[in-house]
Amino acid sequence: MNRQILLLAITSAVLSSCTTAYRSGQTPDDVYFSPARPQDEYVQVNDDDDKYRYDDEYYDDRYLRMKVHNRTRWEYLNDWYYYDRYSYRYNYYYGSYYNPYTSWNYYYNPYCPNYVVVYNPKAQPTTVSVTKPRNFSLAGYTNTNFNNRNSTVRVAPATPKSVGRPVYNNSNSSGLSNTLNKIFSGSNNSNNSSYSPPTRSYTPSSSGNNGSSGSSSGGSSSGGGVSRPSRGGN
Amino acid sequence: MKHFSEMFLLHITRNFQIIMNKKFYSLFFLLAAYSTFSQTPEDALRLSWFHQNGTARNQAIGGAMGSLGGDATANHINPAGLAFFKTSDFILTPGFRFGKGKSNFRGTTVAGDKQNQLGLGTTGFVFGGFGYRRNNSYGITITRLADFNQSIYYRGLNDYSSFAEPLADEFAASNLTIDQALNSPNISLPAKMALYTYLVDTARVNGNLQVIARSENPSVREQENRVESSGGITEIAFGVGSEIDKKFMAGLSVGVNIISYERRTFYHERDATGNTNNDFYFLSYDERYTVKGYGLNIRGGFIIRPKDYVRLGLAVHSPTWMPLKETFGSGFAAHLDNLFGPNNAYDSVASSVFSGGGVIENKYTLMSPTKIIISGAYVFREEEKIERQRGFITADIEYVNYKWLNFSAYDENTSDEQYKPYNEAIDALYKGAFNFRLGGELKFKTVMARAGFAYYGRPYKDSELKGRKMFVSGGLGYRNKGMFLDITYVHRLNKDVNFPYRVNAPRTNTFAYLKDNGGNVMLTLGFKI
Repeated sequence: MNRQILLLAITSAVLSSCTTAYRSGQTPDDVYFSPARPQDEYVQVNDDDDKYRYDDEYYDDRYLRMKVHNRTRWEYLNDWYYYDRYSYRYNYYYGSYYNPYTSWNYYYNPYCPNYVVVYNPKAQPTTVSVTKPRNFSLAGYTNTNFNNRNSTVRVAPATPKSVGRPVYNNSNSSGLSNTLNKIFSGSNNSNNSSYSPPTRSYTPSSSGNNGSSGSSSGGSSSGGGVSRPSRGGN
Repeated sequence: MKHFSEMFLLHITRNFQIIMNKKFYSLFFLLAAYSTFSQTPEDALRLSWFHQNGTARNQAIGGAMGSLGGDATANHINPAGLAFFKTSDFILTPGFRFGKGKSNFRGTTVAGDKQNQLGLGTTGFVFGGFGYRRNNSYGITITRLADFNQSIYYRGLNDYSSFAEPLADEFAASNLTIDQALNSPNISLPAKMALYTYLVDTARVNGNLQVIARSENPSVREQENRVESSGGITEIAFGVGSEIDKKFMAGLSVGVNIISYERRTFYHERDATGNTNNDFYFLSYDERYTVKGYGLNIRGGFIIRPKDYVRLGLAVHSPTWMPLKETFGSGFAAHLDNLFGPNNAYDSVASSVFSGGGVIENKYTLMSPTKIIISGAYVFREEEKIERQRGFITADIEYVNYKWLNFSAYDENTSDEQYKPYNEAIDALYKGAFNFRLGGELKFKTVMARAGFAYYGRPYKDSELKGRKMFVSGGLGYRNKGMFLDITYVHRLNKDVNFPYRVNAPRTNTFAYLKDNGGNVMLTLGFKI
């Protein structure tokens, strides 16, 4: 956190020192009106000694100087200055494509430096695919019948507002004291008449399964794989 | 709860080591090359249902930026707004988000944990006044589009259904034996783990062979769910805006999203009756899930100025193409009272038992929906003299149809067909929604006062599922001597729902109502460069 604040402070200091153009006046508000950026009042003299830089400015300057000196003498150069220097025959940055250094030689000369990337892959943890990491049922997602309140218990005074759809069961039918008695007396077991868990028939394709309830044992899997651990019986 | 979770994890780890030693797992899973999927429609929605973030100034006016322009946030909403820049800016927008959730599950209201998190609003550079007649502007900005830091907690009594119900249903519908199911690629990991721990089992009831879930034995269960998530979507946008003429501006930006989401889910369900002879005391499910990847999108728009002070905007956001990689791990535990004797009641299992010890990793592609924004602004006055600039009011209307969320194959090794049920679930759950952003500013030479409001509509098709994001905001700004400083407070009043599990019709689903109330303090420090 302290490092972030320090970084913020340094950044702010550096940038605030850059805003010289607006330091003495009000800050333009681009939402309302954005003036053109302030320009230098005097012609800036470029002291750059690099007279042989290959860019537009250099060529334009040279062309203009020659034309000013003698308008007619250099007309035959017009085409080159206007078009040819951008053409495919002339590589603007590397010179002619026929230059052995800037064309084939640059890539294919065995004496040119080439960099070979050596890839040394590290050992990666094994990754596997499991078809269904989660229980997903389209029928569950398309099931828009909701039941957000209990029919036999109530523990909180606050309840959601009732909703208009009759399919929802959002109200408790029994009182608080009755409910708490049921819960904490331990007398409310699965025999509660209003509670009916779903029943599911079991018809496995393999025969001979008579159910394992209560005394299940594992290790009966054929062909390896995962099987239930033996839990013994009571 | 945390103590229990630690104990549970320790037990899972120990259990897994024992199983490893016994070599119960098989190479079968290492060689399996099934196409896999653990992403749900809710996870897809999370990656597209979030409010528009921006600079402090933008957030103070509700995030509206479809037609206003002149703010770096335009790079993420309507890049035509960049064209208003003739000068250049650097801005930095740190933020601090805080709040506390609240839930109601089947009548029980619970306050959630406090959440504090540093954030990042729109930060970066805008370079204005380049090119022919200085009509072009460029923006390179970064914004935390979505913040997934959230802690959800709810609990309550349930006398209707159990977490194990869909797991037992899945096994019953498979027509497989238990051993076959434990090794079947078509049975989900939670169902396998429920079978493994004998929570889901087979039994003869009244002479009929049935699939049972022992957590359904008690008439009432106490259920609790804690979901802790982190991460977010950070977008780097490269945009250009051009003033075609004084009345027409156009812009285009490309957004690169960095997506990171991590979630830990602790679900716990226990017998609330106190009966120690009904073969169920508690079950626990622990899930660790991560999604990482990137996204690409394009935004285009234009702003017209039919007359002085009036601006109208239109922007279209392409779907964000997101190739994603997810990892998954889970654990399951069940305590079955005295079913197997007093010293053998508890057992647990880790998902790695079923994956051969390897990391479960899946890849897929998600496309977010297209967004369409229309907007208007009145700016009084658009003059150079700052003393005469008085303020503005602006509003955006955004349409996004969450049914357009679409899962598809990551590469040629998977086919789009396998994602069909997930896309059908998206179609069944979600709908189109309108989002509104409204805000204004009063300007007093160098000082500005702002207020705003934003409302992001319900993405759920069913009106019973209350989901919305609402923001009320205010802020102050100061601009002078080449710099500007904006500070904003955004108060959020969000609602959503969370399903701990889903059951098949004609049974009914249950879910928790969630509230997320809190604030976000943002500060933008900017410099003219």
